[in-house]
Amino acid sequence: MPETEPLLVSSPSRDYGSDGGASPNKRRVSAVRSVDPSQLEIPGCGGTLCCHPGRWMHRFIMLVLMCLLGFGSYFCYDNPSALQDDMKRDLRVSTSEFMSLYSWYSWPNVVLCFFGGFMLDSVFGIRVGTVVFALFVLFGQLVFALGAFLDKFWLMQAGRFLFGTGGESLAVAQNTYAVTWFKGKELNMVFGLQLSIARVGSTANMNLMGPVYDLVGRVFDLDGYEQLGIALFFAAATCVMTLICALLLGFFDHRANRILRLDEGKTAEAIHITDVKDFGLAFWMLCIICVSFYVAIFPFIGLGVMFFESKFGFTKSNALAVNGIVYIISAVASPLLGFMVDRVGRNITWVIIAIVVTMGCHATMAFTFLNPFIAMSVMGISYSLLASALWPTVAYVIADHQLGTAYGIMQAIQNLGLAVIALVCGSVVDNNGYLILEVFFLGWLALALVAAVLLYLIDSGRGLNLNLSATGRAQMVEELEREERAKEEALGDYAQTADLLRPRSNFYFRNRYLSRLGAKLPEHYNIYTSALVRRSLLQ
Amino acid sequence: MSNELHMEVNPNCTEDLCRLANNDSSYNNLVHVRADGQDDSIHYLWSSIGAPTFLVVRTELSSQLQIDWTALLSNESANSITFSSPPLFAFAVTFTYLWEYNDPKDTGNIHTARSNISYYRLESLSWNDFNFNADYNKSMGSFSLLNHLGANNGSLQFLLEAYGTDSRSEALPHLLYTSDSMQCQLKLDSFPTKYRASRFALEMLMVKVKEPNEYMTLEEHQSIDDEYTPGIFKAIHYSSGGQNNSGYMSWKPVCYAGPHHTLEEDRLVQTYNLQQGVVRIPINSIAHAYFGSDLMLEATTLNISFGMQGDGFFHSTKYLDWNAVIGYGLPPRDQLSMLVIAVITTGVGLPSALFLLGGIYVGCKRVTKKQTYPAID
Repeated sequence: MPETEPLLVSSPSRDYGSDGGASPNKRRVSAVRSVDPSQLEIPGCGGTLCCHPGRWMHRFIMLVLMCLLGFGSYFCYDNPSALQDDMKRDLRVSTSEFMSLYSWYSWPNVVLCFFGGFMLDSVFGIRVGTVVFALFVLFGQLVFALGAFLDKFWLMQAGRFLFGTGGESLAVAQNTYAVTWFKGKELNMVFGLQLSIARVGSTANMNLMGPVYDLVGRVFDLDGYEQLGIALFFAAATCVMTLICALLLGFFDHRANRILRLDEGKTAEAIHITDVKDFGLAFWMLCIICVSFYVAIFPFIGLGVMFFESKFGFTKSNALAVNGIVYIISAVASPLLGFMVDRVGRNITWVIIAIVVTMGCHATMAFTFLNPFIAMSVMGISYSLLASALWPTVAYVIADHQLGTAYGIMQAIQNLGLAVIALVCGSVVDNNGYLILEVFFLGWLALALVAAVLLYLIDSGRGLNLNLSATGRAQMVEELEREERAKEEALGDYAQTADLLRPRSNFYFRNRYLSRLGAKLPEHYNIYTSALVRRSLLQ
Repeated sequence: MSNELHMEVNPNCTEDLCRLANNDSSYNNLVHVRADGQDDSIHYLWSSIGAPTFLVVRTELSSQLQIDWTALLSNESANSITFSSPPLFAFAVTFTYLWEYNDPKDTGNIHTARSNISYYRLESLSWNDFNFNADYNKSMGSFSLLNHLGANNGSLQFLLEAYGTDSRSEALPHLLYTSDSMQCQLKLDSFPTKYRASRFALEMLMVKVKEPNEYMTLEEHQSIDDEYTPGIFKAIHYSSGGQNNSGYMSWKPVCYAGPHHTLEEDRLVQTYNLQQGVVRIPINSIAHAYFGSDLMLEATTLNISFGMQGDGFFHSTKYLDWNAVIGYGLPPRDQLSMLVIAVITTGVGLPSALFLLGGIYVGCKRVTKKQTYPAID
């Protein structure tokens, strides 16, 4: 499927614009344009500022499309959370049944986090892949809404399953598009913007779905599950927008490819599942931290609205606003904290701090009546801190060529944990209430803390240097470079192989990981945006 | 703590007065439950003679209940219920009115609904015979008071349970009961409604002998603990006040729209302000029979309404029940369960211990390392 190949170039002499010269197994790795595209003359209106693929205005249009691409899936992802009360009442489901709507989203991604990016690379290609995933998202949401309208809860669950199948992979596609178009120019900003738009989508959902639901009730004179179904159909409009964006992106991308005569890159490495057996204890500690920390964040946010309403007497809109704060803060704080962790080093220390602070936030909400606004804001910061400090650490304990698998496993375990715990949380609330739920989360955080402390001990014991300061790391890098030079001199022609021994920074490892999941990143891709990568990648 | 319970129905009442139906096919029902403590007895009297009323009296151990049945059932019932020795403390709670209000704007509030309102005067209702079950092994008894209304066999029911031990009810809201209290459930089942958006509200009255500087209070107690009643972080305590002797009625602001009391069926109960001042005590009630009208009495009334915005009104399920605890002493406060304390202790203790041990380990290791491998240049 040559048309699905991206517009990436490694050698200026190749031209496969319209002749289908690309073979299906072609892959992309780097994005370097062959000619200065803006210098290319295009006759007719195609050459105007808006339509010329090389001009900034056209790229800006693409940026808008990319941002809107993710909006739909984020908007609809949290539909259940925004309408929790109404949904439970209209469909007469228990809290645990309600939470299963989130599990049905998470379950497919226990596996798909391995394959989503890979399929994008090897089977569909970016353009068709994006459209396919957008279709999954749209159909998923339509089935979900239909299920509500017909009062068939199982149909709603099926819809969430379909929706989840597309949702996570769509995020990968979005990043890939960003890289192909903005690499070497405004990529950092684009990643930041995409995340912000995603958060805006999530927040908009939290604030809009309630009024939309009420409006549907008034305008169509419906109530119960029919009112809910119609409201969800309205939410599906955002997924239609996603599909339109996917189609437009595919069209423009293809067009740019044709006009600018772009070439292909080289093959990326595949993930080997057998690498798993070589992973060390430190890695499994990181997995435990990862899963036990995130289950204390996301399932909590899923149940947050009701908690703030019933314990703190918040109105629905206030409860939604407080619930959304973690997302908003993480959008702003992630790049800043990522920057900070990069400058200071000492990843494990930051992880431990993040866990302890999060415990404090949960304890505050569990044992006091202090306004949860404060606790949720701090939790947003500690969550961002953990995300920035934890994920790069994997790169220090896992060999370079196994990184993709390692991240895949970690992501899978995390998704598995989130799916199971989301169900458990629902039944905990039903049977034991919110205090026990908070204590349950505190228990998970305590486990994360134990794992983090053990990781620190393993690190000190085995000299893995995970917790080096930035200065210490720089010294280590220098030392390795010295060794490398010595080897280079000794080995002569074999010097190239020394590349494998090159010391790695946080963002280098992250880039390696991202590139394996399908997001192609340039060498200069940096830490600030990497911390911003969407839920599908870094959670 | 376990107290022995003594239960009797219509004590010392003659057959023709109590065992047979009245002319309007209603029955006279009075239950006497006595819980003996170390040096005092708590008497609970619960009766449908007139307005359904709880009378809680604390007496010395030997004190006997004396009822003048003829007077009690007449229009001159004052002081027809007495004790052989002067009681130490007494208070009564009477259910006076069941309000039905129309709430077309779906506010869930009887004051802001501002629409039609009607009432059932509970003292004029006629009640079926008591359904009385005593289980002396479990040291508990239950008494239900039923009133059938409407064509669909709709009913208004009060279900009382007395226990000799401290425990919690099995169903939500899992209220804490003690041997110093009784549990009361109000149940409306298939009750006929008059309006399109009917909701119900209940008026109750608390009465006791006036004491200087002791006033009845209504307190909303906030708790961090909702483990017994998920999602409900408040308890309402309607207390008779008083330093040494006090009684209370307490409940959680929740009622249920279905008999299984699932979380999906829970509805909010709204409590309105305490009304003081001139309060009429129903002449037909054991509150009047005990307190009479001679003494200086303090009485207050209180309204609570059932249901909240968006719950589909009473007719959505045609069912409602609400639970409260009435007792002598101070209202029970929920305590953190052992589970919570255990998890928190482990959660804080284990990582701290690890920190400490790990710190020592790492410290030792560094010291040993320095000694074993001196620096080489």
